[in-house]
Amino acid sequence: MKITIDGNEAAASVAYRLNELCAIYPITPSSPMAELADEWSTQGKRNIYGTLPKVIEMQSEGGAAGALHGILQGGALGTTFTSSQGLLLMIPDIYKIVGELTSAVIHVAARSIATSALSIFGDHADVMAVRQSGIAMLSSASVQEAHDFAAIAQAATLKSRIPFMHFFDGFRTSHELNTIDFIEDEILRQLLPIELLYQHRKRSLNPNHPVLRGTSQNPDVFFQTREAVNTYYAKTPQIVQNAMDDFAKLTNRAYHTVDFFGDPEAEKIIIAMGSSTETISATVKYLNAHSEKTAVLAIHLYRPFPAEEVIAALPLTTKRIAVLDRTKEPGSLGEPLLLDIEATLRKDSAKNKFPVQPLVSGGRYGLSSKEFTPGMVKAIFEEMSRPEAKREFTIGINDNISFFSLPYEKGLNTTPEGTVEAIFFGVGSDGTVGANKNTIKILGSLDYYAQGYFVYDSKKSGSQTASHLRFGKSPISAPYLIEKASFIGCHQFNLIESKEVLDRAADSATLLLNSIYPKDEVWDKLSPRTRNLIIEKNISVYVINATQIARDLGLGSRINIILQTSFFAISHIIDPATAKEKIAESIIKTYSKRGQKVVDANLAAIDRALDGLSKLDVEKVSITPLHEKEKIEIDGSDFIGNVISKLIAGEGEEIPVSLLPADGTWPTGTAKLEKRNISDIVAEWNPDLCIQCGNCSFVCPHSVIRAKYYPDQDLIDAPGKFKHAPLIERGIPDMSYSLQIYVEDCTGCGLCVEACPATSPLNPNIKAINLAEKESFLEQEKTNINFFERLDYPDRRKIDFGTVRGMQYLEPLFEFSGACAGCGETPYLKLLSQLFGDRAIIANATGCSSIYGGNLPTTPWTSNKFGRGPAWSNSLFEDNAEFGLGIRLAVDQQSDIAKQHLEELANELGTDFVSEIINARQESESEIELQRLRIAELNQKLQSIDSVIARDLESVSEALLAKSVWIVGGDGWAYDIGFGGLDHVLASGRNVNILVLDTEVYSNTGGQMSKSTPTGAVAKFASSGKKLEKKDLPLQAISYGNVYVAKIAMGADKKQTLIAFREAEAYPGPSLIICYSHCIAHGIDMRLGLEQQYNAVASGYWPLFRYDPLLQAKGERPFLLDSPRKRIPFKKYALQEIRYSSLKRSNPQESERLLKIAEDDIERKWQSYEEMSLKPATAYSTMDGKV
Amino acid sequence: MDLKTTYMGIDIKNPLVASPSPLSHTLKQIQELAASGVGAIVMHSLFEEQLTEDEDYRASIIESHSESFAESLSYFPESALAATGPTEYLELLKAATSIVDIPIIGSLNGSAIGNWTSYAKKIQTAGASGIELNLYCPIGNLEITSQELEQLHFDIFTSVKREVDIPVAVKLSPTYTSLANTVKRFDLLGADAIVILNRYIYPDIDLDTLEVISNVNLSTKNEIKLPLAIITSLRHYIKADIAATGGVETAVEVIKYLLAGANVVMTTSAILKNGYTYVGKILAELDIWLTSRGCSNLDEIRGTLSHDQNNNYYRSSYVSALRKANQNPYGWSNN
Repeated sequence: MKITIDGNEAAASVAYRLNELCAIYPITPSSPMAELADEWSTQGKRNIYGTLPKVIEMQSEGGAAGALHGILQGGALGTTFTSSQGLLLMIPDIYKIVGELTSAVIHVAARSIATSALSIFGDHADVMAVRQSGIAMLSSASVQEAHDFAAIAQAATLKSRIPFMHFFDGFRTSHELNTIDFIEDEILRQLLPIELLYQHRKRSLNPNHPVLRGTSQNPDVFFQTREAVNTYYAKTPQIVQNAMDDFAKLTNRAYHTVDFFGDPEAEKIIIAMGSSTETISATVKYLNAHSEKTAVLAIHLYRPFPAEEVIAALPLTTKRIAVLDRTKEPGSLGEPLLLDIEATLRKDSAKNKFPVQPLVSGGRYGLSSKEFTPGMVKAIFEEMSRPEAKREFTIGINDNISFFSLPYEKGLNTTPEGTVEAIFFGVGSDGTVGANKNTIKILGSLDYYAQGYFVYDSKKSGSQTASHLRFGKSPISAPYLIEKASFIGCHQFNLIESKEVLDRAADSATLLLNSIYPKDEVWDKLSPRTRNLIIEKNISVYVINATQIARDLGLGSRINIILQTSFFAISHIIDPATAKEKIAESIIKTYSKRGQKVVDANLAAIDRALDGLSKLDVEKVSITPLHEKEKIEIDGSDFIGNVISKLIAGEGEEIPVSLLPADGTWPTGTAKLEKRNISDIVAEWNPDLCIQCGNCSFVCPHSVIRAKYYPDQDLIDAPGKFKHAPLIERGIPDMSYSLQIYVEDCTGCGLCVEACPATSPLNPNIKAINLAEKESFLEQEKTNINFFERLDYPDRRKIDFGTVRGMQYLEPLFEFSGACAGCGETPYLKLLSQLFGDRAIIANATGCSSIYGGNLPTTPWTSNKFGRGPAWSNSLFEDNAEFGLGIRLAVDQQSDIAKQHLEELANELGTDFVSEIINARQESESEIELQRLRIAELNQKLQSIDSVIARDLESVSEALLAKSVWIVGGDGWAYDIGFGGLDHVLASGRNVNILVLDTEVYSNTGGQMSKSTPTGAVAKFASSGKKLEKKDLPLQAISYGNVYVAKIAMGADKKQTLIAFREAEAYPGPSLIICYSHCIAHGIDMRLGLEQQYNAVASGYWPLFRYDPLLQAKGERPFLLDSPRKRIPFKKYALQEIRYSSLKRSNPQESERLLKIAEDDIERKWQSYEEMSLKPATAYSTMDGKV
Repeated sequence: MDLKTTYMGIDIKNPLVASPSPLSHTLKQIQELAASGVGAIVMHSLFEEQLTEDEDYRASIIESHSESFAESLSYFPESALAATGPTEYLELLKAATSIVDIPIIGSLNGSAIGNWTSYAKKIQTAGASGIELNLYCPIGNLEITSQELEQLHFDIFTSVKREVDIPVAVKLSPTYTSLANTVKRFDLLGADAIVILNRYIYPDIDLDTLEVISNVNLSTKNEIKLPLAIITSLRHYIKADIAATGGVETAVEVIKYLLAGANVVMTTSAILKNGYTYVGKILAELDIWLTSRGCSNLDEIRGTLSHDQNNNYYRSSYVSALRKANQNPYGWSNN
């Protein structure tokens, strides 16, 4: 049976059917494997043994590996799925599982390991970091192989007892859709006789025949024990080959531990592993058809390394070998596969076979999913032909420092004749990717082979997508992006001007353009460059106003079906009637879950698309000179111009090695350069209605609403339409107030409108801030922003830090992030940056906040006019609390050194001055400013002191200014993977501030359950509703006595939020703030995010409170309950959100039961909090936390 | 006691039928319902979920963030996104008819505009023993006249009836201008059964929040009165079978409906309130009541208290015999 699935599903489909238990933890790009397994388990799908496999989500990959170890020792068949750091966290247990010769297969979507930067994309850094453990390693190169090798690995592990890691390239294979032959259950049963399961069970721990494992051994026998496994390893390559042979008999798909492809008398051979071998094979075929003698040796079994098989597979004619590694091991003699091949060729059998040793070179390629194309393969073979060929090289980059890189040409097409190549450009919210996945499934269900690969940018709002689709009558092995497409779909009109769109069009290609302009105006709306490219490449252009059709049908921004129908109508890949029928079928299948109205609207879209499609008469007469696309004009350093602006323009591939920071250090303040203009509808200020309360600015997740007050006379130079009003603030006369919207950065989320309390007395729908189409005022506002930026922010020393009104005048040092429109996390970070940003150091756990905070091309973290702003870093997911603590320790240590040196230099500096600077209070802005002046004075004085101590003091003098250390992360980090560290840091007593942006689910990886997920809510791995209670993290922290704890929700009480931030920062010990953060993963209209925060508090579900040890020390009640008793039923809050309401639909009784439990818990907890709030100071720990 | 009955030509082991409800959303629930002892199950309506929630809104929230970001192509487990669409409905129906040994009746909701006949046919193909067509009179529609509304409903019924071979029942609302005449015309059009009556989900107003809220309440025995009156009046004048629905809390209501002339009696509320085992209790009490009055089957009492053309009790002689037997040995309430 042919099916079209991606690599993750291909592997998981087999793994699920061959196992009884899966212990997992979500990590990109492997998460879908675990999610599919959980879905199948929920649906009651049985494995080949008739058992219903179960899936357990753990708190980390370390936990998953521990559970897997137990599962195996308990006698069950178990597996796990992981990638990258996840695999690294499993290493200790992998050693155990290996050491005990325990049969299991771990499936890995291979991904880069975070070094100077995190990357979610694919290479072999992770799997190579496990190669020393003794686990057997089997590499798949394609979706079909990911399916097949999952089965072969299972057979091999059960027969050899060596555990296996089955891996394939993250994203390139894990996320590539391809048409494959499906392995039926019966085949799997034949491949894996039931006796193998029985033998596995017999090896389990069982009190009826007890054994001891995990002993502690001494020098007398440990060594011998390690050597005792040799025979198992010696047999394994043959066991794998036997399993492959058995598999071939059952499926007609033959594999070998190493597979040779090419000219049997080849002289030049590339040896590689993973999806690249598909590209190399296709190129070898192409080159050999052009009189070359080339070949590729694909390594499937990497450990135990099949050296003899490699030697046997290499033809006697071999003269040159290039070994490709998809990883980088700095400082090594060479990358791992290269070293293995070098060692193999030094074996006696190789020396006997090759009297003249082939010349071996090693190349690195494809790190972090860097493209690897036929043109690159050709370049490698060409390099091998040169007498002075590089022995160490890279391909795919321009290395202008070490000069390892090889030049290569683009555009070599090795796909079989008749393969259709199409690329579709869209944005995340328009459904382009979904439609293309659907197109692939439609064609895959007919007699076509289809392939799809999808590229997303790094933004969570307004993200661009590119779908690369290939179709043909034979299997498609082309794991790289389409370079020249015969069909281009441009689903958003503004994208047509992106360089990539028409650059990737082949000559005589067809372009389908979604145009909001009428057909006869389209040509004039295109830039000269685009028009010229259309003419030069002889491109046929079809236009359709899918946006309008979708609006008419109530489909909102989902234009997918309209453009999918148009694609089939123009491309004639299949006959129109079949296409129509298939699209209709898929609509019913896909959308029936969403409701009949949705189905009907999409069905109607088919006909409307066919009616609305028309071909453009390209006006060949109007050829105008070719203009290059305008570069983004950016003021700033060369780095900004040469690197950042290129990244923003999508030209990062062209940046050479020399321009990139080797240590991962990047400038802040770059998000403001992007001006993404992702929303046509933006906030608009009405000065006449405004009461200048600051609410809009306070809640704005994207920092696009700024307020300043300034002397009236500053308005003399103001543009004519610059908006302003007299300042309402009492005691500051002759001042004007302006609220400036940064319209190009506004996402149109509408939170400001919801937060605005000022309504027009004439029309309740008009507020002091509203959403409006920006086209008419965009240019004017750009002029206004220029003027506004020239106005100074008010002096921080004069701002009332105690009020929301005051906050609007503090410059945000976190701005214009690519977070989701209306994000519930970013307003808290913005507030942090306003209050403490100019002296803050932020340790940020991996997750949403590290992605919108630090994913290139830009960062929202920025600095003020003095160049001061948050210094930010992301270490890992699991270690963030410890990372932040380390920063605190270092800052304190430097401060201590500085103080010691001050005392040592007291005579030279003046004892009063030294005492003043050492003992300075640094709580208010004025005090902090005074200390800055003292430090400047100190540095001045030190210049005239000629001593080692003075120099040393100079290097640490800045540590004398109080630093604000923040440890930031989401609930996945704080409640699960980082909890151990967080707990330890809370118990350290050190002065760190921990900010938990609690979305109650793993948001960044797509909505998996965390221990913060509330009772009754649905999440991945809790599809029938979370049964247990949310962990009460604040209560746990309070139990230490010396931890400042606050539970806050900005949408319910802005003032309490503000107080909590200030108290937490001022508290000299550890502080913990848990922030209610509404999220798209809650299934809400994000515009109503603040209202849901209010409802969460009003229902008693999210009580607001603060626990302040300083009050306890003063003898006052330290636990302050800041929100009133519940005013609305929990259900009224919960059922507004799809995470709760979906359970009500799918299982009303269970929903009712869980919501009742949740309601009871609210009551119970409230009583307990109320009691706590009434308890005197003496009822709490007197731990002062001083360390 | 022989509780066997026929409904729309379908043989049923007893007259208690599970009406459309959340209790038929999963295969497990349907199995439990069947095991509880009901004579037949009417599935939840194919479009009922769509009527009660704003599907467009929901879909836009789910869809608008999916397939946008490489690390999170979706945010909810697919299985949690409510399998209420036609495909899942038909799959569930198919699975249910192959597993349980009592008749399963499919249900189509008639106020949504959709591809009627094709769904009716698919329900038949999926193995349903019959179809219940739920015709809903929207409150607050200022544009449609009573005649137009009735004609629309007749047209819908005719189009469904024409497409399928299995029997088709119509479930009616109480708000037709002339309910009796409407019933008569459905009868003439060939309806195999009339289900009396559909319950409305009436909105309420929350005085704290000053918001209109929608409450789904379980029916109470007081609600038996209107359907009972209608069935009593019409039983004698139509060929179609009658299913009574609404207000069944105990065996008392079941018996009343049977006496009025219902072929079967439907309930959900009683099961939702008391659990699956309550079905057995109702049936046992029905059995005892019949036995105590010397009846050997349901036909002996069915319709004995319906009206004839002279507005007299039909089969009055049999009624008087029953009365004599009615010593009320179990002290049941008779209100």
